[in-house]
Amino acid sequence: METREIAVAAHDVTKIFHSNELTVTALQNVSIDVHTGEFVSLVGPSGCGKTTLLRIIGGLTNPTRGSVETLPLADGSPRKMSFVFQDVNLLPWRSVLRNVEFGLEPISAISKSERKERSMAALKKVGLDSFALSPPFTLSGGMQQRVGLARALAVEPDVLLMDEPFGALDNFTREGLQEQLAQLWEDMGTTIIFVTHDIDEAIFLSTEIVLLRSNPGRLVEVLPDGLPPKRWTYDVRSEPAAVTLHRHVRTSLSGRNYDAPPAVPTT
Amino acid sequence: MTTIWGSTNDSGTTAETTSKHHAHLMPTEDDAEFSGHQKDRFLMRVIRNPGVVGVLSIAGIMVIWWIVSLFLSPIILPSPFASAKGLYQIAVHGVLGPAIVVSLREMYIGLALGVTAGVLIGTTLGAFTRVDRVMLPYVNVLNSIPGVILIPSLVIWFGLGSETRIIFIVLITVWPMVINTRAGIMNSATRYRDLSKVFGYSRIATIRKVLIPASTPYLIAGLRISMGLAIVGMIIGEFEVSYSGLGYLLISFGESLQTGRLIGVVFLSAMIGLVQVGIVRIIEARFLPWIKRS
Amino acid sequence: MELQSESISAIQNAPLEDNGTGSARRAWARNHLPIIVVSIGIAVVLIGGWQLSGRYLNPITISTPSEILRSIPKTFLHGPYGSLVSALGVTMIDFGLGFLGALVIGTSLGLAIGNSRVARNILDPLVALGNSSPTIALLPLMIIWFGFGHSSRVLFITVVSMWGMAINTAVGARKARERYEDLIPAFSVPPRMYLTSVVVPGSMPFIFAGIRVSLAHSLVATIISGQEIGSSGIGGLAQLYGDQFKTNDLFGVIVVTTIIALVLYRVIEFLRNRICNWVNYS
Repeated sequence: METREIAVAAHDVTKIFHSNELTVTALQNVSIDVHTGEFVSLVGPSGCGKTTLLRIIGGLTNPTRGSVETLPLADGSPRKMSFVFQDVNLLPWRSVLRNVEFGLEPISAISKSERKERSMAALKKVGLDSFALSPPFTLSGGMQQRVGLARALAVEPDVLLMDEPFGALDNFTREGLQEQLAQLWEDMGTTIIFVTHDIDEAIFLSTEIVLLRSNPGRLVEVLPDGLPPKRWTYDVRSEPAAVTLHRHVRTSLSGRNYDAPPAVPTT
Repeated sequence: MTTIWGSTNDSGTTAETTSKHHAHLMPTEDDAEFSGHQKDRFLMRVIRNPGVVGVLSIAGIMVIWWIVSLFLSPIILPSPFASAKGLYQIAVHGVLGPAIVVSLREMYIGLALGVTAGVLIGTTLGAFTRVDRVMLPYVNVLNSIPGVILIPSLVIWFGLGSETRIIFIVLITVWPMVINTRAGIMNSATRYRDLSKVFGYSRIATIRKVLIPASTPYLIAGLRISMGLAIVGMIIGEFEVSYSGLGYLLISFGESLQTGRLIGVVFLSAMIGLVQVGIVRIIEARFLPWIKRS
Repeated sequence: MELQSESISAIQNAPLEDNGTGSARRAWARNHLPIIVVSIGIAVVLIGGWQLSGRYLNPITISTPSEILRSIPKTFLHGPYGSLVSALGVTMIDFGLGFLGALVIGTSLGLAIGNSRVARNILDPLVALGNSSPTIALLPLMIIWFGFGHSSRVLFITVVSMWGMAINTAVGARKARERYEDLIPAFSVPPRMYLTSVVVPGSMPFIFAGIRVSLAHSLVATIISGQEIGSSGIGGLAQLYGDQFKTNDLFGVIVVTTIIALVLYRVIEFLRNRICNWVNYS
């Protein structure tokens, strides 16, 4: 780790939702720095404001107070962001390839053929280039999510925001996609901010885990995830370091100290 | 489920067409299951076949009609054959052809104008919330006016020509399109709001590339209603303001008690209605393989 | 106040206004007042413009809002062709009976189709035909069969407006029936109870959609039957005023009819929201 360059910085972000009678503080004075090249997971129970924080970072929602700063790249050009949604949001009337092209279409500098080329390359990255012309509804949920990832990658983002992308998938599919995402991230070195409520998923993927608690949504702590890279090559989940980290996260989020397990009599 | 009920909120009309759509999907699936566990004879299976039963039930009505007509004066109820003959006669004598041409011309001009205007207005309302909030009360009032009541004033303004009937058809076909387009655009706007924002789409590009394509199921639902109303509008218009067209034939055969020919024209109108339904289904099948699956 | 995290996530899903602090009422006013003002402004400009143009254009063809307003009380009790009130009475009787007939027959047909395979196979083609064909074409036949009286008009209204009711009820009943079918073996529900306490309430949203469609058709059928089956009621009155170029009185009739239609739609909507208040949560 050389000089840690900051990509995105949230300063004292507070977000308050009003409804008729209720006022809900989704986020209270949350500040985090996200450094370039990191894989940062926002973890916490539902209602802790992790998705809200991600949406504020992505510019989809405005904070009530505080600010989010996306720092420009070294050469002064703005940092590009892209988003992967939980409910993929593919356009059903477009083919898989045309869905991936969707994100490039507003950029007038990109010609039609270049758009197609870049989209195919993105599809290749997620291993779906052979489905380019299929309609999205013929794909399984996991494959659709990979198309969503390809769509986000096609714009070549500097920061990739992912909102519980694997939340709706079954466990086996989810683990497969986690491995694929870990590989992609190590290849590309893109900064990723990833929202999840699955502690194992966060431990498997991240370099840094941000813990949030609800009522009001607030930052608890930021943990480094020091597990060795190439995590798809070994069984991360049973590594002692991962088990310790998992225990720490659970204790920290629940505020509860677990007793030692009762001794099992050995014969 | 939710889409249908959700859209019922906005307009009963949407629900109606969605439901029609499902009504036609009805048979097939459970038919197989039925014959599966009740392994009866071939005859039994023929009787249970919805297609066969459908034909039988229409044929049954014809038979009842024919039997009843034997006991009644042909002025009250001519037999099915007499009615068919009546239709044949007016076709041969060159009465029917020109009437159909007049009627369909007015109907399709009116429908095309009404649908175009409806899509434009509905898109504007759906995509621009402020405009919608200002204009919605007016849309609700205009949509509630039973169109027929306007005919006398349309006659005062535009006379007895075919423009009056076309305008009438426009006035009644425009509202289902407005309401369905608006509902479609609004629903898609909520659904795809983040998507177009994330990828930096402008308002206009969002409408063109996301909202309108996403609303096609609603547009087709609206089109189905408007096409139904267009025939109704055509016939009503010709009842009241005309010396030509199918509606005029209906009224004049009615007044001169040529019941056979009258029933023939009634059947012809029903056939036009069926053709319209068929047209909508072709449009639906051709452009939207994704509707059913997503 | 201590909130469960679950309830917060539910709240987050609900549409929330997040425009900072300030009382709810002030926020409401800031949100809605400009809209209401502009909306009313448009009405004022339109009606005012109409009123002013009446001075320069032929009053016979366009009338003016003030004349129309004056005509309604004037013709309410005594008009050149009978009073508005008696026309309304005749129309409402025709409409009420015809619409009721459509509701009863349509719902019965729909429930039968939605519940029984035999009924569906027999009736579905007929209902599909009735729904897709312009049944108003039957008007001259109704005159031949039933004459120019009430019964002819009532039957015509029923025949025109029952199909939408039938088809919507059928779809609703079928959907409700299939959706909760597993309850029958699980709780040994007797068939009749399943019909009355699951299928009918479950298809209520569709029944109301049917009622709405049916209402629209009934209104049109009522007016046209008043014009064509013996000049009677509101339809007949409008026709007579139109023929005599009594534009003020004609517009008066249109305004009254529109108000009645609006009220009827609102009543249906109100009932629907009362009875089907669960729809948005299912």
